[in-house]
Amino acid sequence: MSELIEILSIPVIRNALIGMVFAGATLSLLGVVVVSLHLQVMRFMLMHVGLLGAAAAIALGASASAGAFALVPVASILLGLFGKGRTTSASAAGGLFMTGSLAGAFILLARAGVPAMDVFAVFAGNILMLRSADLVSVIVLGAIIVAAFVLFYREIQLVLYDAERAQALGVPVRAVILGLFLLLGAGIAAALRLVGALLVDAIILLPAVGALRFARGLGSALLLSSAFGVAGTSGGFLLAVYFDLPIGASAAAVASVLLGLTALISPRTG
Amino acid sequence: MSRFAEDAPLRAAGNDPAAGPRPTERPPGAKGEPGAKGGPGTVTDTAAGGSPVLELIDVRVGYGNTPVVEGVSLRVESGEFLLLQGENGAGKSTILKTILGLLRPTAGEVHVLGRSLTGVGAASRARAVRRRIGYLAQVHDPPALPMTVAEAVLLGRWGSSFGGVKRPRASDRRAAARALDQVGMSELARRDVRALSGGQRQRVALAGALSREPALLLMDEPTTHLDVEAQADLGRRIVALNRDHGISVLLVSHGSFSESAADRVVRLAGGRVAVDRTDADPADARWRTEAAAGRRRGRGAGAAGDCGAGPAAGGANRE
Repeated sequence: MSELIEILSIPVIRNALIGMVFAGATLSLLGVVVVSLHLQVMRFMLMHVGLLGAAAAIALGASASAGAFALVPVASILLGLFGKGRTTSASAAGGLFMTGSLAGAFILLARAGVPAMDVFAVFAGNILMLRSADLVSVIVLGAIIVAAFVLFYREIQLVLYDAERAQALGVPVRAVILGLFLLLGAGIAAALRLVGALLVDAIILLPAVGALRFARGLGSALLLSSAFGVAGTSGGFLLAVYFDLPIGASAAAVASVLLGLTALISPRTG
Repeated sequence: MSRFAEDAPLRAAGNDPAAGPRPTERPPGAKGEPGAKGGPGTVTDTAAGGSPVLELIDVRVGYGNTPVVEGVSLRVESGEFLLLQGENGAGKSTILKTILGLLRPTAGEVHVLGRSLTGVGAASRARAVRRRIGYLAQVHDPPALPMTVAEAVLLGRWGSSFGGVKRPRASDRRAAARALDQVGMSELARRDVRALSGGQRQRVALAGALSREPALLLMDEPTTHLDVEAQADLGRRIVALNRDHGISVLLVSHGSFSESAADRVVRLAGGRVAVDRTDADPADARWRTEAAAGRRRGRGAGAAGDCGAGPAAGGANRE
């Protein structure tokens, strides 16, 4: 225990833990949006757009987060504006995005001669390289996400529950959805920095899926999702530090185990 | 034969031309008129000065450069039940969106509950009007978001008194509870909506519309995708809301809702009014008599009927 405390006293480790816990508590709220609006394919596309953005930024000598933050929110807004009515080909578009983005990322990284460890960091994250600016951006983004849910709780609830009814009542549905898409894009970009492109779901999606098995409303879904998110990220982090494992992968493993447990004990199967 | 369809002969008899005036010429004390006796929630202030709750005058609406509704005029009197029919793409839902202020007509006038939804300030007037309109769409798949029945109904009051940082008040919760009681779902108030049947979810949605204490109910294919029993149940409740509580109803249907429930049937084709017929029309009354006789024969034979039996037969006879 004292060994663990000693490790956590190292600034870079402490910052990483704060970043992971904060991300688990706040970015996981976006998972409720993903599940409720059936955005699984879209978040899949955005993950790969982020991957491409990160690869392009590294190839240009910039930070991976900057590339992801520049590209993913823009892509999410474009999908929000023009994606409606094109859902019939969503699976095909998802496949196209994944293949195209992976191909583009590999080509850019290869052409730029990026070292293998940096390439690995894009896919699996490297939270120990988290800079203060990255930590601040995660905290600010988390605060914005929480504020959005608090200030527009009923509007978001209506849109997630029944967008047609919300529109008939006069809720600015399009603005709400675009706002949520923008937050989702930024959230994916932030999660990508923490755990890498392949493990974004560990922070955003898995906690929400588990939470929705027990929740009785949007409020409890958000609280539970946040709790599962913190449990997954902090548990994974401590496990990684204690057993000298990759942090992103450990967090993803704990989140997966938690989701499996919720599936076993939840009152619902759906 | 559905229980809802059993109401039809009563309404048809009540609107027999020999028995009284047309619905648009109701005598004092008739349903929806000042002095009418109704149950809790009876509408008495639908539109000031006895004006219609809804009036569309030569309205044109389109999406981009594509016109969908061309020169439609409609009028719904206080307490009237108007059934708006038409094939897919005829412009029915576009008209509902226009009435809700979600689409702006390119020409013509729209008056809802005594307010014009055209010209300067139309958007703010539309917001005000929406507070007194209940809207019910067709039933969808169960939502992915968990929600109790009580909460789902309460959301129906959004924009009426709460929204944004303004939280629901005790009066909102009371109105929601009353609406839930009106659709007979009070005992399921704490149930998760995801666990309900399609018919029950539609009753919850109806309660949400009623929670606004509406003067006008707009419904877009409310019985579509429901099983026969649920169609009958919902149809009966809608008729009762109109008949017993005086709530004006504009119900859009491509043909699955019984014509015999309505005071008037308007059929759209190609964005225009093709048929506008009150149930006091002699030809229509003759059809109703035949339809009612058919329903009685069906009951006697133990045949299963539904809301769809009326319009299908009616459509064949009337056009």
